[in-house]
Amino acid sequence: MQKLFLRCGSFVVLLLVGWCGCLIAQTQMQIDIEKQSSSELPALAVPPLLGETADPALGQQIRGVLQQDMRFSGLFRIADPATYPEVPQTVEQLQYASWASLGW
Amino acid sequence: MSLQLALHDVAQQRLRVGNNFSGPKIRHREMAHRFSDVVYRELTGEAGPFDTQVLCASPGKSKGSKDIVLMDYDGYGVRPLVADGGLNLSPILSPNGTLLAYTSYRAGNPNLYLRNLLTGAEERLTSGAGLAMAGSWSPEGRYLALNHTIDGNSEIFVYETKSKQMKRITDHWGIDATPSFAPDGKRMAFVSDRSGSPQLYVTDIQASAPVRLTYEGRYNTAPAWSPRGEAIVFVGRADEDRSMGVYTIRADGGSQNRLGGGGNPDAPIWAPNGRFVMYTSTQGGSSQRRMMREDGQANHLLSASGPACLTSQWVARTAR
Repeated sequence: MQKLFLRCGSFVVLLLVGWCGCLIAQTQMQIDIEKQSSSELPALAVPPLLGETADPALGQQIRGVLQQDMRFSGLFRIADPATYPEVPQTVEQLQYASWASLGW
Repeated sequence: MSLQLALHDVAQQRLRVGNNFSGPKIRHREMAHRFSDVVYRELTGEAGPFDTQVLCASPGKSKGSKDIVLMDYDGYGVRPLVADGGLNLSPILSPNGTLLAYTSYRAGNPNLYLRNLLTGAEERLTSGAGLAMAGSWSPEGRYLALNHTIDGNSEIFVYETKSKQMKRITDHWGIDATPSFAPDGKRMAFVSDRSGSPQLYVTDIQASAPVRLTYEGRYNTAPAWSPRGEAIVFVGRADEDRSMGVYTIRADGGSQNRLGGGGNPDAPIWAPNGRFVMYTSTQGGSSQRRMMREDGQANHLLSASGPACLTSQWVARTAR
């Protein structure tokens, strides 16, 4: 799947998703929409697109649509961008651990 | 433009799902909506509600006119379907996306028309002065349920597309209106004031005696049957404080549940996946579209963009 991210001149969005700390040990994140309650929503981050500097306005619009849809789904808490760790410039730089320790 | 979108699961430290999209930049919203549905399916196992469109009658260019438009669920990408400078209302699209039923005053009266969006061919289904309005299509597209005022009284009819026959379903001095098909394509919910106040009833294409569904409150209207089961969403007024709300009730009359209220909620409709409800509300002053989950959670304002209009149907995206 790594080749997904290696095309040049294209965007990659990292929707980063994780459970809140107490549920982080869960083996498989699967959402049961019949039973979900708002207190245990997983958090979701939509960091800037890789390569977004080529067209910042477009990148922002794409992120806006994703963020809106995910918010409307009621399945997530959308993480505050101010709490994001350093956003990776390539997929290889993605450190899962730094996103997991956000305290969401 | 080439766009690659990915969902990473931080807890499992792995890529959950990734998609490549390519196409003109102008379609970036559509690409993002499609990936939102991919994420929704990945995490819930069900079709998502985001790469979808709604139909509505929106204020046209000339005064008093209304156009029939199709737009993304969030109000972007408005595409006119009928824009003839006249007054057009209440569009309902067949399940395969080709036959558009709508009301137009172009012949002087509010008659019901059926337009083939592929060929442009159009036929008028009703005549006379009485208002005719499309309610819903049966899931396989064979029947169109509608209400038509004849001899001064509104009744429910079903139009069969193959035989082009109109069949009368209700025959009562009360006002019968807004029919909505069940997913079985046989039963339908509608509103009638035959008891003395507007209440929800269920009948079927055999025109069986209608069974009353709602007994709480003296004003219950605008039923829409869920595409995925036995829930019917409607607008009701609570007797205690006369506040209007959006409710669901099971087709057997059980489990009535208030999803939300505020303002004057109107015209609730289901997302194609039957997990979300959209409605218009005057909460905050002007008429605005809102959506929420079927349990009333995650209630959000939608009409930040797009025309203010009464949406009549929520459909999977047609014609890419």
